[in-house]
Amino acid sequence: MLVIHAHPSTESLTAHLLGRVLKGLAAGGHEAGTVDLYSDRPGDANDLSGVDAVVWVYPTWWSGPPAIVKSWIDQNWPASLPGVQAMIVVTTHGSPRWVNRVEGEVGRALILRGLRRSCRRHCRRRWIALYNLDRANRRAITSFADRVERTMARL
Amino acid sequence: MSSLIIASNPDSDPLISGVVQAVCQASGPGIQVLDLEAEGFETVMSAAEWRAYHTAEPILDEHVRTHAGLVMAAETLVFVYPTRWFGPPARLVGWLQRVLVPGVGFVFDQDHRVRPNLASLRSLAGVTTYDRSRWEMASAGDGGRRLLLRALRLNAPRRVHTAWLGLYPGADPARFLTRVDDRIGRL
Repeated sequence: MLVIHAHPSTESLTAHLLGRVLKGLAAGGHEAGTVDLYSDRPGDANDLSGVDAVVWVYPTWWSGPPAIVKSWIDQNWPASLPGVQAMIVVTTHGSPRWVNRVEGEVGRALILRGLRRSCRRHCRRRWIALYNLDRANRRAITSFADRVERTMARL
Repeated sequence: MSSLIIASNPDSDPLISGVVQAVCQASGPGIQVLDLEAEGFETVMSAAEWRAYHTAEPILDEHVRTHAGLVMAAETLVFVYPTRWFGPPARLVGWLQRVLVPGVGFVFDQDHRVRPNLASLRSLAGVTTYDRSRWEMASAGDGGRRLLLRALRLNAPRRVHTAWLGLYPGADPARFLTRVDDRIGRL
């Protein structure tokens, strides 16, 4: 498994969610490598051979992933990646779900429909998203983080 | 009338340069082109910018401040780029994320809801070349079109005019440039 993480701040909710993802994967007995696009050198993540699942952990900005993620995709994502049988996205949205529907959920379409075209034919897709973060309370955030960890453990 | 063209052409495709020229000609005087590669516009939002995002001063960089001023003054915005992986090149994505911050393009109200702030905008257009067929773009979703004509449009006045022009593989570039000239001229 490969976990691709992108957030400029280590104090962010996204960085915390990365920790929960890794904890969940470890509990489920999954072996995972991590690429941190903000702190790793470019080129660290270029080897996608042997990866059977990709987990994307990023904040949604302007309906999609941070530009650093698109930059990595533009440079590294191959036309064919037949070993990948699961694409999983863990993300947060500042605005409510309906606003993101109107905007077209660009990140969801890009990864789960666009990039998935490179993967194995019946590749599984999971969308694990927190909406309305700008007005969410502590409980909603904690229960989302718990859900992320649980889902990863059960993959 | 003030028009702003935001162009990203990472592979220096002459066709994209041709489109920028056609858009300039069709728009007439009062046009300004932001060539993101030529300007060396920084793609990635920094940790300092992220921390400043929800403060009263979200812009830290002079380059970003200049572009933000141009966006707020523009009556027409035209985006020109080659589509890569179902959307704009990373640099254009980064331009939107760094320039269109609270106070530019949109504002947060007291309940922290997003409210539109592109009050001067009358026309919004995108011109792109696709590297995949019409069918593939439709089945995966056209991220650039959604981002500009849906997400960005939400921040424009209700009656904003929009246009979208795409060149699919195999189509005639000369005819496309004529179409660009005609459609942008009527914006």
